[in-house]
Amino acid sequence: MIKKLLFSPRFLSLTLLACTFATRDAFGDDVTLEDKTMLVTFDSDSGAVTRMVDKSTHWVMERRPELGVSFRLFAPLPDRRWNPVYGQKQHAQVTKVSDNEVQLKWSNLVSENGGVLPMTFSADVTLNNGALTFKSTLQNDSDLTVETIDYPYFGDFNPPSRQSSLDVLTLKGGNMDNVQDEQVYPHFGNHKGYWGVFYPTKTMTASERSGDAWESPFCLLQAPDQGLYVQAADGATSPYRLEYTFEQHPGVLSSITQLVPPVDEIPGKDALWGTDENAETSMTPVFLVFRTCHFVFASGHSTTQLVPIMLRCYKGDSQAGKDLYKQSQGNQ
Amino acid sequence: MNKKAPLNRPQTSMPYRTMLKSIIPTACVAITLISALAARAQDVTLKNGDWIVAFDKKSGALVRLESRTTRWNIESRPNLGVSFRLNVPADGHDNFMYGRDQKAVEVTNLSPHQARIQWKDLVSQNTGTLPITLTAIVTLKGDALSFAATIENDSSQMVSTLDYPYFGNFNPPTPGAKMHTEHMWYANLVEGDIPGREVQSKQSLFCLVQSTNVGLYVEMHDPTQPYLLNFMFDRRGFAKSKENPRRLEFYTTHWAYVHPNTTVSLAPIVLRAYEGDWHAGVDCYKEWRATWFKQPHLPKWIQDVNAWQQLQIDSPEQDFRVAYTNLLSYGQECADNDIAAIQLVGWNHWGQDGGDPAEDTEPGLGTWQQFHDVIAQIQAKGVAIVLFGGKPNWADMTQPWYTNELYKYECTDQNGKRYEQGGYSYYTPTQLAGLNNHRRAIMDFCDPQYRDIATHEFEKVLALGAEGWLWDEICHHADVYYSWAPDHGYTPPGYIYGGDLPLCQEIREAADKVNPDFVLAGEAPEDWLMQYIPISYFRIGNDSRPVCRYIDSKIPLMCAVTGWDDREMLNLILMDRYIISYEPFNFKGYVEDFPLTLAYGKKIDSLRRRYKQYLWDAEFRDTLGATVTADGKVRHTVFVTPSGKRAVVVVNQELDKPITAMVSMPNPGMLIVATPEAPDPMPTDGTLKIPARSAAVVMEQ
Repeated sequence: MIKKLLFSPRFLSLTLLACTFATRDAFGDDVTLEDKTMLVTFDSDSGAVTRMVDKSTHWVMERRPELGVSFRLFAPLPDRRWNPVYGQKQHAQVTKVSDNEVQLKWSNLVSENGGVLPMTFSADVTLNNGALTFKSTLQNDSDLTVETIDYPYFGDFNPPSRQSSLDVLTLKGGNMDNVQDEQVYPHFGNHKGYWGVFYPTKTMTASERSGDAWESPFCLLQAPDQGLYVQAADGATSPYRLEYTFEQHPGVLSSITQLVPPVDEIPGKDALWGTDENAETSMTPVFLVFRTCHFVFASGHSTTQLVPIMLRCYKGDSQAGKDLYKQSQGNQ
Repeated sequence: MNKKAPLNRPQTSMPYRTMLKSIIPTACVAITLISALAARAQDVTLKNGDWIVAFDKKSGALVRLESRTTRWNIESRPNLGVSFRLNVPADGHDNFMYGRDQKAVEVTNLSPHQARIQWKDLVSQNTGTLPITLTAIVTLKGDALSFAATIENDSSQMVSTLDYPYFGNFNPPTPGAKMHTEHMWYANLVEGDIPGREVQSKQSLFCLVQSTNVGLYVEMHDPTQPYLLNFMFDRRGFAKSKENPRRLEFYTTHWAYVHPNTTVSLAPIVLRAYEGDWHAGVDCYKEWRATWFKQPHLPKWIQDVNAWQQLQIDSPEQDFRVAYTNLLSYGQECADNDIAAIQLVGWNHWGQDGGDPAEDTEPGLGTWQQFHDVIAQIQAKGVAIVLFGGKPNWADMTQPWYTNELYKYECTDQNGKRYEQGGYSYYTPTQLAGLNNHRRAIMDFCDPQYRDIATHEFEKVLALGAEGWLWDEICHHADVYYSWAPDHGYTPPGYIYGGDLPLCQEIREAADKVNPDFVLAGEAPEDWLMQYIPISYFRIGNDSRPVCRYIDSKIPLMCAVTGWDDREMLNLILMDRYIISYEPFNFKGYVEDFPLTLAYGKKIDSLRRRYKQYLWDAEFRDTLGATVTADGKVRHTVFVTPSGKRAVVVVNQELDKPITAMVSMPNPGMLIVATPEAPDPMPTDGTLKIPARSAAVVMEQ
């Protein structure tokens, strides 16, 4: 029984998580970028985004530090495809370069099934006049191909309040008049085959494939009277497939209503997240993940610049969000 | 009261010319109708208390059809009558033989209730006259009107389809009344538009044409799936055209593929008119089904109240999440929670949806012996292991077995090209984007050699010692209906769905040699397959209609529960007497991971055990036999015990509002009420206060 407890994946995950928090405390301060409109904080040990606030509306988008995540990538092995690299298990070198810039670097990445990989993933994050930009690079010195990188990764994305709705708006065919609207709160409908996901999941395509025009060069995370503008496009065409991904943890209340539990925690256990399977009564956190997924297919011994992801808060409805894209195009 | 003539306003006399304008069209319509409905000398007519049907003596066209019991003039304009349409493709193109271009050689009454119609030497659109004979026997027997047809194809060309019977002017029961189709699919009754997409016999042996409280039941009178039959509706003509007026055609298309120099008797088409909603239509099917459905053997544990867990342990992305030896903790948890079986997914080589149709174990999860032993250990705890394994429908094209051998048994099209199915996505962004999926060839169930291979693979499941097997995707063959592959043991094309029953039978026979109590389950098998695969597993929505339960009150039907406090789904399961399948994390966790759902599910099963005679052993009547009114969203179902005592399950579907519901039954006896959360019986007059998201059961003493 003791052996089962000590070596269960859940216990190991929990221990790892506890170690992560302990390390974070030991290493001290988080790193914050802040201007008149926005605040974003990074964990100094893991490099995870632990807080993100729209200061003008007090919308706390990333709220609970313990749910912050830095990145995730997949590097299949020759004899086993399942080989993720979780940012939660990496140590970051976090350097605040200036008041509006932080550099993060993760080296010698610990993979789940392939040991330590000679790879360096680095990010340069800037905050200028309300525009928060994540520029990142993968230096892959291994023989493996890195298929995908999820970055930036918001591990606890919140609507402005429990009473507020939150929808994701994307374009179809790059057409500003053809907007697709998917609610992620208070309802979250799974859009992937249930057999192949743990959590209700939605992905929206920013670009289909290399060289294509942008399917949806931006997405809007739209609350009733404010939103977050997320721009993926950096140029007329995309160098690779890029997706906006949303996951609702640990799931919905009811498969009929698809309502998200309107609470921070719900009775239960989430092995993947790391709740303790042996606890008599345990609670598991309820949270929404938002990340952008870059299908880089970076071959061994290569360096890949990822498409920069720019975020900006706005007030108003989706038209205000679309106007930001028009402005960005006008400025080019 | 005539709302068009207010009483407080003096009536003015109608001018003579206006009156004439009003009367003349009405009179014309009446005269036309009377002349149409009167028996025509040039017709052969069959008549009984239920039906009148008439055929033109020259053309053999159906010129009149009336349901006397429902007073529905289904076909009333002789000039729009059609006999049939037959297709004899030539040079890869359609080559129709229209009934209008043929002359019947015989239209005779064999008896007052039976007619024989024959057409010979049929004239085609493009290849002239061909030595093909079509003979129809139309029979009235009680409320059943049947159309049987035989094709004698003495030509050198293949007959692909026959459209027969053919209703050239299909009327609604009353002018302007709406009609829609209803048919069975995926344990649900599916509604379709008229006209709209065809209803296919591969899903349902019947199609209901449902209107307001009246309907027409149309049946393919052969439960062996000899070929595909489509129930088709087409809108034709133009509103202002006299020669080609606007009308609705209804016909059944027999995809019979009658080879040159052969004679084929087609499945009879049976029509029955009924009054009422879909229940009355499905009652027609139930009556017919009772004449051929072979009741399957079921072990005792599945006949009792029971619950399952579905658990996936690996995928084609090689996550190897739960080693065989670690399965024991899942088995123990099920035993601790009164869960009778685990539907185990992804135990096979290459995980769920990988490696089909192989039933080999996955080295990444452990050895064959480890798996065999843990199955025995779990089953010793009273928890059956039901293996969801490789699927005979497909061959994983990434596997050497496919490359070296299985390709020989795949379905191909008329050009000899392989059909493919795209595979499924698991876990990694790469697969979830549809990249790198294991694509599959579609295997030919009509090929006896392939059926032998599939049965041999199934024997590997038996060797592992599990108590059951679940055949996922038994319900379909992707978009493939026919295979033209040569050398598959028959003259192509072969109707792939026609191979389902023989393979199910062979698998059942293989199981019986080892363990007659071995259970066979499937993902929503078609009704006729449930003779061999009697446990049906599926997912439902709030608008699903429990047609399978209405057809058979006791056959094991199982439904997935995935939400973290999934009272809505569990209440539906209680209403429809489904078995609970607990599936936290979309069947990737422990059942105790979602304790709120588990706790409520256990309360429901406890209630069903306590009141088993009402909620488990009784006849399911869906909504029939009781009415429930409430001050909020409410649903109900009715059960009737063998002694005639009734139970009504009432569900409050409001999310946060308690309701007051009133249950009414004709001549009720003493009533009691119990709920999953207050299971002790309490007397009631049928008025219930039900909390939000909750259920109550009213039972007659």
